[in-house]
Amino acid sequence: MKLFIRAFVVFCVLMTGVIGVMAQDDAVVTVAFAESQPTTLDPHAARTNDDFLVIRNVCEGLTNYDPVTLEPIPALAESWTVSDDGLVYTFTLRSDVTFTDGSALDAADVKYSFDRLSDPAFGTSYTAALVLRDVAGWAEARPVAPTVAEGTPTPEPVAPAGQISGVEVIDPQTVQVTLNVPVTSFLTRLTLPGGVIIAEGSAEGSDFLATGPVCTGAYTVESWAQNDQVTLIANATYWGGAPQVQTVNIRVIPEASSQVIEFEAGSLDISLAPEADLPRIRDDAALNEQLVTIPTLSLYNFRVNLNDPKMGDVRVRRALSLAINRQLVIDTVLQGQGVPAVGLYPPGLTTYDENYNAFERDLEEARALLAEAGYPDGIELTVRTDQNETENRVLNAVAATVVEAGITFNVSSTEATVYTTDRTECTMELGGIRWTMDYPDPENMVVLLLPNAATRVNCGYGTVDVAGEISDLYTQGISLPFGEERDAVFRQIEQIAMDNVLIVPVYHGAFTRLVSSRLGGTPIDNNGTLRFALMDLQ
Amino acid sequence: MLQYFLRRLIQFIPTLLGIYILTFALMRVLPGDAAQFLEGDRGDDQSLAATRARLGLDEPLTTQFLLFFRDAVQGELGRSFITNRPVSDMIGQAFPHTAALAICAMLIAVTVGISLGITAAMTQNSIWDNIARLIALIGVSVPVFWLGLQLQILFGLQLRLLPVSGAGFDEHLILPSVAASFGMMAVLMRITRSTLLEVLNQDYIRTARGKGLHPRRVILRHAISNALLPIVTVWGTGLASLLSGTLLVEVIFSYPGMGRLLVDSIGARDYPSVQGLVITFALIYAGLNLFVDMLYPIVDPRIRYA
Repeated sequence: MKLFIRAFVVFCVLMTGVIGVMAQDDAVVTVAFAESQPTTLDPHAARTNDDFLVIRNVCEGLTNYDPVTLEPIPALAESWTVSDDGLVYTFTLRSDVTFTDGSALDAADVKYSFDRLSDPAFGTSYTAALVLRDVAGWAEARPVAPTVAEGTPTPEPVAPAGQISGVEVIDPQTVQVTLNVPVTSFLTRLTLPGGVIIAEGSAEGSDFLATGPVCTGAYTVESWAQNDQVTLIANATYWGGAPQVQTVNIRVIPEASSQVIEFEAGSLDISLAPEADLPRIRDDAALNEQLVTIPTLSLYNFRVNLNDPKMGDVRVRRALSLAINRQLVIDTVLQGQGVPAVGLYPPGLTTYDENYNAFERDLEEARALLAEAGYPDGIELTVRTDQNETENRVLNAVAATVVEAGITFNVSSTEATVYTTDRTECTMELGGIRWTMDYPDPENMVVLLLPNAATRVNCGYGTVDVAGEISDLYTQGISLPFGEERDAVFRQIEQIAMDNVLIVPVYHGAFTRLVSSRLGGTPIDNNGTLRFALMDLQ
Repeated sequence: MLQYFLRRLIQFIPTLLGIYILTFALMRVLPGDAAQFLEGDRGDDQSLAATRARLGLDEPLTTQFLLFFRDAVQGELGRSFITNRPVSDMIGQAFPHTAALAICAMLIAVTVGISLGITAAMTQNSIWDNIARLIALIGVSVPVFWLGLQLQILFGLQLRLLPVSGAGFDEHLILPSVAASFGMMAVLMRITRSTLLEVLNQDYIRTARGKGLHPRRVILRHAISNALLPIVTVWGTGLASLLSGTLLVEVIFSYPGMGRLLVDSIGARDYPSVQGLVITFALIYAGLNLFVDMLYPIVDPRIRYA
């Protein structure tokens, strides 16, 4: 009994003794991961937004993107030239850059980083293909297993090259990259997290999980306490000048509403602002002032199973798309955060045309199309989704609006893993896809229509009538110089996709955050990434 | 005693093996493919196959089982599919947090629960008894996630006395421990009250009172020590369940414990991580059960293990 009493006393002392809110340190900024926590700090394996948040603040590539216009700007490469045929890029590296381990940046580091990214054993991130797939030597770095007829002995698999031959060291300050196809967006693709440069040899036996990568950025990883927080400290030798914010704590707070409470309690400088909390936040003058909305280059859409008897009929797809009251869904569920999607491209891309509307809501026509397709009494469709709360609310709102056209829209929500599997095998009529662009170029939107992933192949995107036409236009578009001609080709793809309703667009999302009024500068760039080096403390 | 102890340890081996096989089978029966989940919406057949091979999921199930089993016997729990970190490291990092939370919650539950139980039993049917029973009723009825949120709002947001969430072996522990302790506290209060009431009707208590002993001495010395057996049993299983993850509490307070790790791992079909965690939980349960059994002869000298 005495033990219990003692324990109780100790507890009470603990309870009263340590009470008190810590004073905010001027040079410390505390934020939270948007999803959960990083899966890795290895830039070549990074694949989630939480991974990218750390890597984008710790590492840099040859190019970076402008925080406002998102155009590629010089980073580790101070300049570059492009050959007349658009195939050879020659980068001149900055001469004043050192890695956080003290070594100076040279061309060998660039070669090492791209070789490692090309190696299937290390470059496991999907960004590896986005950065390097059009660079000469990619095919040798990622040999495709040949398909053999049944009964034929399987040939020995070709070993990956272990390096990418299209990236060459010319001299210590010069790197040359040769492409197979003159892709105009190559400089933009280099800004992806997979394209960052790490110090030569630094990944050998290194435990990225504990120490973070050896990079050149404005911050270095001080520590990563699993499931708790990642701490970044300013890189005093940063070539761009030491940033004002000296320490950044990125906490792991997976519950969005907990983040809001932390923000209100003053222990977070930036938090998520989930839709459910928005009305309350807007009613609170002080909070409302700190609410920031940034439109994202994204498209929430339904992928359709083009092989399905119902969804394979373009009339059914069109009827569904015409029946959705997109503005109502945005106003009610998303609290007005977003823009109706009635085409392929989100606002912010040069190919976006605000006057283009492929799906003006028309219930009469929707009913007529359904009747014509053999469903005069309406149709029952089932949309698949994971357990994302917002998405489920959106789908239920969509269901409430399309019922007016005689469409019974069932929402089937399952665990993310189950949905991913069924989506990959396309055992569904249609399914929700949250697509956020990897880089700001229309070609990255067209990906949604291309049969270059198992998930779309299985849904019939490779065998639909217009597949060849889209693929030809895509190949043509990616090589054209930026400008009207290129945009026109991509708009043509949009027209074909919408005429055939290959996807059902729903909305272009926006990104809402609570940002403490003490953070000036550009705390969040237009890509939705937190940029600690660009923050001014007020 | 030692013989009994060793026998129990040996009996534990088939239990562990059974748990292991069951977990392995259950995870594979679940729909959803870890490789497809990792590849998301972008993987082509080629990258899917590569990922499967990397995770060892291209092997036949029996081979997978034997490989996992061989490693497990050597104490090697494999690497997480998602983070590629050794599972033993992940558990090693989460365990101290869960242990700290469980011990704090247990201390609160034991002190408050047993005190309330004694008070209630001594003042049966009085206002104090009713208040204590009401607290216990609330304790077992209130969902922990609601309680957690109320604690956050009151102490974190309104009073600004305590951190709302986060890890740390300091004041960060207070709110989660209080939230986690409530259920166990209520159960301990109820069991203490009922067993004590039973004991208080025994002849030897009447004798003790008849001898003119101080009521406090009667309770602490004669009654409680005889009522301890069921309390210890409840305490043992309660502590085991706290240790195996106070999941909801960990989620609400963003506390980096094992319960959260398990749920995240199941969600991502991270087989090595799930298997490692389940084995750890099994060990904790079995260990604590054994510990409680070892306590019995101390609590009640009439119990002997031959």
